[in-house]
Amino acid sequence: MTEKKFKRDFSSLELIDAFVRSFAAGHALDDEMVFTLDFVIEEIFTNMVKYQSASGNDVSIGLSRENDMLTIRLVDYGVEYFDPTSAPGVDINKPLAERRPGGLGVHLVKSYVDDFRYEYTDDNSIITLIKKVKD
Amino acid sequence: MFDAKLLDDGRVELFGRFDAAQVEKARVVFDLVKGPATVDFRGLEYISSAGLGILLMTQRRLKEAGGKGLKLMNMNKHIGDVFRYAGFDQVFEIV
Repeated sequence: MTEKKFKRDFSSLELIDAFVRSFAAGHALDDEMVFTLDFVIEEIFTNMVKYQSASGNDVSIGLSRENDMLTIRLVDYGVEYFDPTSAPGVDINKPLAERRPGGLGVHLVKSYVDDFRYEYTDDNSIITLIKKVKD
Repeated sequence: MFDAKLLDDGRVELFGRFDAAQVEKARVVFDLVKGPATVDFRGLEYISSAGLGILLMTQRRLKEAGGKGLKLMNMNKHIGDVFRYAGFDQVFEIV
């Protein structure tokens, strides 16, 4: 797995995009997959930044490809339990007046990936996303 | 790099990557939109839920004031997919 640590700040998003593009170039991933990786990583990373603001630790992001399977892993060290996979669903058919932006990011992550797992061990939150690569 | 410009004819042009780090910059521009406006996505490569949130709140403000809201144009395929997954194709006019 190719891993890198990023400062817990929205300003890291540009560096995360560069990390994704570098990985994609070395693993035959197209523009659509770069967009998907950027998107799902941003949504999880920004949740960690927003909801674990007491932590000053960097967040680790790892990527690996095995055949047609991509694994994306984000590790948030020394934080409280926070499981985004159990967030309530978002009704995307609500009228405009009843819509709120909250929760949309996790809903969209679920739309993009094939598997979305949460583990909590030794005060570390570990999010694993699995995405199949199309031929 | 992200940029948002409000033109004299009322159009809004977006450029680059509209991620969570760009929300305040975008909010300043979208808060200036007072009437029906077209948002041109031609130069936009990427948007996340943070960007969707700014567009959603602008649309609500304009519609609640009795206006027509935003018309969104020239989205690339990836951004169009995000809008569909979010059900935003039901609350925006997308051309």
